[in-house]
Amino acid sequence: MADQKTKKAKKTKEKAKLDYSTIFRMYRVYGYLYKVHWKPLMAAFGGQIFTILIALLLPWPLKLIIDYVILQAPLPPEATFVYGWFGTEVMALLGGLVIAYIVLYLMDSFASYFHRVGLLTAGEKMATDIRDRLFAHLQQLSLSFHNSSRSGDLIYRLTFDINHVKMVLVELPNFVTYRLLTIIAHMVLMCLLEWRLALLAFTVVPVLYLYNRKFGKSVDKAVKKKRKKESDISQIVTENVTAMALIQAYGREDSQQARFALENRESLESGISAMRLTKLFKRLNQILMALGTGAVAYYGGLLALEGSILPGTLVLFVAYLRNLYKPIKKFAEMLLKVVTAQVSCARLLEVADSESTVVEVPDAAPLNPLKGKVAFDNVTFSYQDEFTVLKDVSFTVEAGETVALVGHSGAGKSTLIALLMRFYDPEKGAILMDGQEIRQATIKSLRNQLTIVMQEAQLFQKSVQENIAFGKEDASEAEIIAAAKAAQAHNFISNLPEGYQSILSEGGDNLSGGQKQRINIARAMIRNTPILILDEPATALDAKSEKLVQQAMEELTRNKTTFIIAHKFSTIANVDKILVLDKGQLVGFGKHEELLESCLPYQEFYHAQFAPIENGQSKKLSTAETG
Amino acid sequence: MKLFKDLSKLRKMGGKKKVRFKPGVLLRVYKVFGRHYKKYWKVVTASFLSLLATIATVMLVPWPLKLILDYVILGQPLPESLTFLNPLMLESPQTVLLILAVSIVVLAILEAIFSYMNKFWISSTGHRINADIRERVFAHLQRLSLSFHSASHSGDVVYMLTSDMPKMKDVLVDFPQEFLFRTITFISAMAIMVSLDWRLGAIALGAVPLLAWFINYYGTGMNKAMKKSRKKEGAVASIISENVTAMALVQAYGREESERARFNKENQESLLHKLKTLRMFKTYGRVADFLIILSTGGVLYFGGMYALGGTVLPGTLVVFLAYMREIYGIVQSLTDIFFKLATSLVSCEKLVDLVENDMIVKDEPAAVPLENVEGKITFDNVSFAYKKAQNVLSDLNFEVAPGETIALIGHSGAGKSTLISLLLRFYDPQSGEIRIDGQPINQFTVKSLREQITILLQDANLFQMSVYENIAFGNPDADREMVIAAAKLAQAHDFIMDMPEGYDTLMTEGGNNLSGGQKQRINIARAIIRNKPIVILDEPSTGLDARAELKLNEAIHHLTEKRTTFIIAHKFASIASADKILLLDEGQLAHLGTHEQLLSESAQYRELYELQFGSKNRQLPGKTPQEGNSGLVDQTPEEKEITTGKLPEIENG
Repeated sequence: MADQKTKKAKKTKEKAKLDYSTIFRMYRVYGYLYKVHWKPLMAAFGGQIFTILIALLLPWPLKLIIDYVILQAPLPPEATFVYGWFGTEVMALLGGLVIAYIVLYLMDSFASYFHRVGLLTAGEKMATDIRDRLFAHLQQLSLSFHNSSRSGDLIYRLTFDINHVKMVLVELPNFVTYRLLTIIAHMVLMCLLEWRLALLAFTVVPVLYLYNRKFGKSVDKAVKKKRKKESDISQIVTENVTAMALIQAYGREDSQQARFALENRESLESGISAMRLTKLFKRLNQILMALGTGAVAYYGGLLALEGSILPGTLVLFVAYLRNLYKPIKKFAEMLLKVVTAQVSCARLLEVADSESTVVEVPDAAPLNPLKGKVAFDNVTFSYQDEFTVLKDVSFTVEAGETVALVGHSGAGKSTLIALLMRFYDPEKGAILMDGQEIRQATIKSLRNQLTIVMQEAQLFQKSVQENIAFGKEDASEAEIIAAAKAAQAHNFISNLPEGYQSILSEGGDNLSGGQKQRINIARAMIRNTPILILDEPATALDAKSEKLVQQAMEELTRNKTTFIIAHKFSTIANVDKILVLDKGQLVGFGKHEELLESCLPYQEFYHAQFAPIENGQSKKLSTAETG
Repeated sequence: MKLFKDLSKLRKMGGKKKVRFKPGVLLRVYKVFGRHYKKYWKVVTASFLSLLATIATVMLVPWPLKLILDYVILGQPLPESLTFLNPLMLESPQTVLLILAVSIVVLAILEAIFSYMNKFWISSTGHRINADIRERVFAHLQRLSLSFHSASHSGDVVYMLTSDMPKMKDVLVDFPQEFLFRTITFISAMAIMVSLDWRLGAIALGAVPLLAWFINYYGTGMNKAMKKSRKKEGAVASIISENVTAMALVQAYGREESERARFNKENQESLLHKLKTLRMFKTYGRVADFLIILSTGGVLYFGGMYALGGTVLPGTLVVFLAYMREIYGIVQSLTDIFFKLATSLVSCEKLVDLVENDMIVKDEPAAVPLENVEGKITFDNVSFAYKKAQNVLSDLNFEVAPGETIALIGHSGAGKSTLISLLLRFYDPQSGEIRIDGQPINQFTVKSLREQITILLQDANLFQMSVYENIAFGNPDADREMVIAAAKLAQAHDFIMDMPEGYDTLMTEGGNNLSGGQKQRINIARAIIRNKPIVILDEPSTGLDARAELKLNEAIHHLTEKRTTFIIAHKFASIASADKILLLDEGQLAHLGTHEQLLSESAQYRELYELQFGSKNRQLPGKTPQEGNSGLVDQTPEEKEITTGKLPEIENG
């Protein structure tokens, strides 16, 4: 399911087209945020209207100065009231106009401040809200989602893609209204002033528009090609860097260099052609605009010569033309940005749309406190309708027993554990704890009575104390120390620079593998739940820490129903029962000795994993004999 | 792949690097990479000339309008330089008007052409220089010894060659281009304004020093705010990454709410800082606006006054306003240019550091090629440390006879991999000597030494090439028959033939279209085809199932047969089949001998052995070895040979 969606997202990435459905969905899903953040949006809209109006007024002082101050043309009859203010003294009129210009300019500056700040504030706030919502949503999604989409991809979505929602939610509507209103306002005013000049100026607009749309597309294509080439390069670099030892050992530096140079040159060529198109595009735009300006200058000059317009009006028109052409020039740029942003939005929507596959039943009740008896009753499960991972698994574990799960990788061990945790629900059959079906219980109450210790000790970038208390929200300091002591971790924690308050670095890299494991165990210890699930760490620790971890484990599992995914022989030898899985089926359930007698798959597994010692001995014996 | 890039980006967002303009670094970049200009000096010169031409046309752009206004419409007398136009002006001002209007378009076209030439040439040179440098860096990377590669994060290196690399163009080409364009435009606009009317010129330029001071003053504060904002965003990113990777744990322990609260807090804080920076940035724009408008107002007022007095033409005012737009635009954009430069320099500094890094194992001046190796290897008092005063290997002495198999065992960190690396001369020992057939290995060229050794790494690094090319990677002279023969010996031929395009099937990234065992077998085929007298084996300990494991063992057997072999052993079977076992303990040779010798003599060996291989099953009631073997269903005759036949054979030899 999720896979198909990712594929779809990839496809949208390849097409450089506006996909309106994504954009409209963004408005539908997150439109409510406009209401929440109406204040900055209103400020932005007000500022926008003002900047548009002021842009119309800004060229006027210069026009008026040229016409009425310098050339001293008589004021038009409807403006004669100005004489009442300044008298007929031109210097006073000049001063007044200059002040008007300064005031207009400053007003524009402030209006655009409100416009931009309002807009950006609203955008940031909306992005923050969406991110918060998505984060919460992610936490609720069942592990079927988290397994199928890689974590790096999710991080990418929540840190980079999220920055693009502003583009669609705020910048795009702003761009449309702002440009449209600017064009309309200028059109109206220019027509009122001198319709012939206005018409002339506007002939270029549709040409510009069409040209930008068309050319923009081929630019976009070239840029995409270049990006593709770049990703090929990073591919090769990754390969080489990770395989550097091999390359140097086999002395193949030269051939790898040649391979790299080839791709590098190809990327260079596509980079240059993309660049050429972009530059050409810009320059042609400039020429088209100059055509409009030239036409207006010529015709306006003729009109001025005839005396039907004042010279200042010509200056005014040239200034307006600049305002008018600018938004069109930006159009292609904007389109490109929106297309990129829309891909990000689609990826975010995809996360928002994913649904959890584990859902509580409507009348779910909290699970009663458990003693620890666990039963699987004919449980069948498969991931995403593919091949079955567990098939008709039935068994019962009594309270306090320890059970080792063994089987080849892919036999279904982890899946069985995941079902127990209710990370997934079985397709058929039921899982019972002390006789209660877990599907009828609330998820929280179930997980509160289970503790899982994973193979990898995932620690958080918090203090040691907080890391241990992660196991139990309201843990007291005494409890934390007791848990650390039981997990053989107290001593080394006390030796850390700030003891329990020491902050762990990312992933706990300032601790050794064994130390991380012991904090991991302390975190599990503090939960003190009747049922325990262990995924045995298979990483090689040195002998000393191995022993300490072992002791901690023993302390942890005492008197609890325990499931262990076993990797070491010593573990298998010590458990009450062994549960043998083979291709999703339960093929053996009993003690080591019994299974070794009667269960063929177990024998096979056992010999492959642990028995070589016996082969070895026999061979060594034979060597000794020959030697 | 993308993940790598993103994660190192995330790390960057943590904002550990300071973004500050450092002239020293700029000089270093030019010193190290400056020579790449040389090849392109013609294009660079042409580009500079077209830059000058562009500026000239830019300066001319406001003039036609002025001329129209002053001489055509207002009928002012033409200046002396233009008196030749007088007859035409009298006869038909419309024609002059047309000429001037056309010149607007012509100027625009000229500007477009010049600017296109300039930008195209300089930009393509930038791309080319970038590609050259990238090849240089890549080549350098391959020469760098493994001490560099093991110390650096592979994601970071990839990031350097993909995302940092384009920044080189910013520094080497774009910055000089932009800087020159702006300064020359600035100076010429200033000169023209002053020569047109020095009084107005002075007023127009009055705000420039004020603005420059203000930008400088404010820029520092801006930088700080931005850095802080980035840091906050980095904190958010790290919570996201922590939570997403540990989602199973968070859900299993029911800690969704507390983690969400933690996230929410950081998220909101990041928002606050973003908004703060934003407001600061925009406020700064307003102050700049205010300074500029003071000058513009001054020009309008005094210009109007002079125009009334007849000392300045109205069109001159129009030209002044156009020039002022240019000049103040330049002053304001200077901060952006320097900010961009500072950010790019951070990337470039990393690349310079990389290229100047000389952690390279070099050939001795009199090194000769190593040929005809028998395979005797001697370690004579070898000591080695990655960091000073922390010996990883100390005083190592041992000898391996040609054709012998020696298993290296010890805890992780005991020095097994280091020993192997020294043999391959990935590093040189600090003291002592390693000899092959009695000759110290540093007497030979590194290349020829490595030519005589085959290493099989734990990780089957496959390349995104065809299966054929992947196997032939082991031996550049291999032909198709050799590749197929090697694949057959490595038990890989059958599954390769089952693939859609057989040997020509392209491996996906990291060989993900193969199973773990299949990848390993191609890895082994690649080693087999080398056919070298010395073999180093870092035993793959992948969780393969029993059948794949058996096939793998068989393949490895073909590789090591009759060759001097070092095995970093993880499986008991390998230890048992070795001629000698070398037990390393914290860099020292603790014991050297056969399994039985060590078992009876070394308590440490017994401990390690019990821990890793579960000695308890010796006491377990179970099957006898023979019966145990029968449990393995599809064991082929050759497989039996591995376990029983090898040692006697070597002894015979």
